[in-house]
Amino acid sequence: MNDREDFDIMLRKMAKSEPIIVPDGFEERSDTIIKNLASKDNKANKTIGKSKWRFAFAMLLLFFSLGGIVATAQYISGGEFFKDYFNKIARNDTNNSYNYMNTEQLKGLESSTVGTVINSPEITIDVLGVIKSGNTVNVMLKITANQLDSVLYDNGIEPLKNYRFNDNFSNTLSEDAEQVSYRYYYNDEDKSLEPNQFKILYTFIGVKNLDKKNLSLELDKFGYFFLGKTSYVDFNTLYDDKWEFNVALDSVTDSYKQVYINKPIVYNNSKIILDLVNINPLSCTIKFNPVGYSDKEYSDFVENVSNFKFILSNGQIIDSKQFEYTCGGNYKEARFDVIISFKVPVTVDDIKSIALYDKEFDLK
Amino acid sequence: MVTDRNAIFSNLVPEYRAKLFRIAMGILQSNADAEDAVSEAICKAFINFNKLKNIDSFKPWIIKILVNEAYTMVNKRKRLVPLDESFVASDHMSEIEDTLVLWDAVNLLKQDFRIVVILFYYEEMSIKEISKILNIPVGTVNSRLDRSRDKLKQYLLIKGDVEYE
Repeated sequence: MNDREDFDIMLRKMAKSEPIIVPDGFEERSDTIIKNLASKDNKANKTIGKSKWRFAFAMLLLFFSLGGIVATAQYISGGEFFKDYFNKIARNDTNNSYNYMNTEQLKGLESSTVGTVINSPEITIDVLGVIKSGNTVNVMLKITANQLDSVLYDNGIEPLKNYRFNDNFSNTLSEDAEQVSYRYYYNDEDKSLEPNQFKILYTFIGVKNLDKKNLSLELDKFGYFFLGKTSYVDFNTLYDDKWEFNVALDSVTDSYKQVYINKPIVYNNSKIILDLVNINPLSCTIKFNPVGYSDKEYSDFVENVSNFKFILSNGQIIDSKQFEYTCGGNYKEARFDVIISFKVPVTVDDIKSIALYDKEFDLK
Repeated sequence: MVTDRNAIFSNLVPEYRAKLFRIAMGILQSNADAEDAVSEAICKAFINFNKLKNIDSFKPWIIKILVNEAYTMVNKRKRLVPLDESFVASDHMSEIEDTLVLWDAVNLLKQDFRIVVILFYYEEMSIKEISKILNIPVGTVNSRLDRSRDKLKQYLLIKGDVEYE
């Protein structure tokens, strides 16, 4: 072996000679991203559901803490609020049947936190409802911009229009968080809101079933996005502040079941082990253990998630038209999981089995 | 001027995106995650491009954004949304494997050592630049490079790609 410098030179030559292997279509997808950024069609900040692109890059800060419980009983209960919320979803979606929906159970899943949690000259934040089950929490907030006549602002950046909180998702998610998503509602969509109000629905899904007492929320910087003179998306901060508050996770009942399946699935000549199904009225987390598979096989498995079905005891089927899903995994870390968010709450005990990759697995 | 800046960004990114992908692969070791990290980095770079004073610093600047993004993904177990398109392994995998001898060896290193090797040998960055990108002392960069060289030598010897005199 030559001396160290020769080895160094050799490494440099080897590195220089090795080609960079990128996935098929990588350049085209990247070009599309750049084009969209430049043409004001930024797809940042979406609810996390099915989306054309794999990444979601607007998230909310969520921290667990042991802070005090805030609850003022000026409003209807969280359970009642969400009952009304899901009833509207079912009513407005005339393409699907939601007769399996169970909103009566929401009373037992509600948190005691409801009412005004922040009341400042600039911003009032009301918790309209919190429901928690298994590893899932839904929080609905109503924000009033007290000094504005309207929070509607057409900046031409869909879906980042209107006044909102700035998003900062660096170092924001706790280790307990599997997935966090949010969705804004304004009065052009929700007529129960005044022009200077909007709602935010947060869905927090934990790595495992939640046993925390509180969920601590923090909202940073209030303002609006805009396209600057250089055509770049920037944020105009109206109130440079942060608003922190806690919601209790003190529902009196819980409804979930975890079924360890540990059975192999062979799909497109690839093998994967179905490990665990954790299901609650609001969501279902399915964990798989890959068996030495590649990114191609991972893609095959991911593509088929839209064919997943839940079979109820009465034979009715809940399919992907009635839920949203996200997938995550890394074959090198030997994990792959699917998170399904039901559009309306289900009765866990009514779910007999799950069908995926052309096989049916009993969940009783 | 507005259009020029936009055009500059649009022209710069294609030059570096494959390298960014390789760096992200070094950290995340997943095609899907690496592409996500690159996409995120491009978007963040786009948003903050007006803050970059010297275009000549674009490469280390965007690499730093990418590295931060990749490490954030490592820490967060980022959720992914299914793509309509699928990634397909190359039909010429065996040919590719033969030409990626050093890359295979680098992927056997621990993550903290891997990234230093990639930035030094593949991206030909200086120790000082690497120190800034990874936010670690210069001494640590040197130390990790030294130890990585020893490991790489062992691996390449076993593979027969280095001759022992």
